[in-house]
Amino acid sequence: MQSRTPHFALALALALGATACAPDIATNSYFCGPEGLCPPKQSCNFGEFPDIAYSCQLPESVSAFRCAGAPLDQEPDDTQEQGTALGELQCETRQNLPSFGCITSATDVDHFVFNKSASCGGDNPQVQARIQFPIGAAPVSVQLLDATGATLRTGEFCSSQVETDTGMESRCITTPDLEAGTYTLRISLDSEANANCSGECDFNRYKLVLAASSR
Amino acid sequence: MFSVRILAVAALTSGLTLLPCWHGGKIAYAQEGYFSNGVTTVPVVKKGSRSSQERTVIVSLLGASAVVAALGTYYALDAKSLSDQVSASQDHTNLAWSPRRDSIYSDSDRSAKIAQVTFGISGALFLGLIATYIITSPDDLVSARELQSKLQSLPSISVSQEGGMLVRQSWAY
Repeated sequence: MQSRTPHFALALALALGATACAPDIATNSYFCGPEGLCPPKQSCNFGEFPDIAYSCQLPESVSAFRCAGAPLDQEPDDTQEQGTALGELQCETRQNLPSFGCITSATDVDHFVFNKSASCGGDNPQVQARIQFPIGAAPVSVQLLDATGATLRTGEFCSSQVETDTGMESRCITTPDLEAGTYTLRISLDSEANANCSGECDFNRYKLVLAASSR
Repeated sequence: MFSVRILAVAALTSGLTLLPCWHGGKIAYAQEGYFSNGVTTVPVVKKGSRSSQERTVIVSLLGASAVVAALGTYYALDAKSLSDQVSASQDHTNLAWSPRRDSIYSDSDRSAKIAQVTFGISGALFLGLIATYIITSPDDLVSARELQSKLQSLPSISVSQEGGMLVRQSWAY
């Protein structure tokens, strides 16, 4: 038994050496992180196919970014006049369907136009615009413009409402009740965020939710 | 032929009787002719020992191998712990790969590499230890000791019921 002890110790050491391996991460396990971050030997799939967009996959499996077209991306909408009409803003969130859009480059801009006529009433009537987008590509910003094109508000990071660990981030504009009139939401890449993979991911998709409430 | 058998048993028994004379690795072996009056010496086999330098080398190799293996174990466990934090064997964890996870991955990879290298070094040291142990294995030293006296003037003889006979004799040296 005494003579077997060194052999056992050697076998144990070799077994431990074998277990000391690098992390094992299957493809499609993670969403792309900020600026398309993925585990080593994996790349961010910016395209819709062959699997989920913004998931980390083997480099040979990923596809390039491409906007899907209507209804997920209404073009042309690069000017206020060409903006996608959302109609009359209702007072309940569920009456305002989410809109989808896609920014293809640093110079691409999307516009959504809506009308606000009657107040929702209540103690604290508000209007809220929220865009949600994957963190894998360039961050998206949203601005609220009046009929003349002047910027009323700029969206801010909604940290309290978003779990960024899921690969999504949100920017919100919350403003007291708006006067009756026509307003525009201008959506573009956030040039100040400086998180565009050094120009390699100057694009993104987003979801827009616009709502008015009485509190 | 029968007398030869008795002599062999006597020699064996003599040897067993002399076993308590073990002192520091010295063993006296029986041989033919002990019962003759002319025998005055007994061969003593002394187990050879390694030099202090050889023992130092062996102990050093053993210690170094153990220390390096312990170091490797530490890094292996560290790599395993870090690896478990980011490993994902199934699709869609609903988590995003972040700089923090990237850092954990790098740390795990580094610890795994250190563990593999240290285990390799430990294994090499251990093989060196085995080689040194075999190479420095000492030879037995045989010397003749003068018999001082016979404890019994005559051999004792016992006859078993199944047949056969046992002759017993003792010496001191």
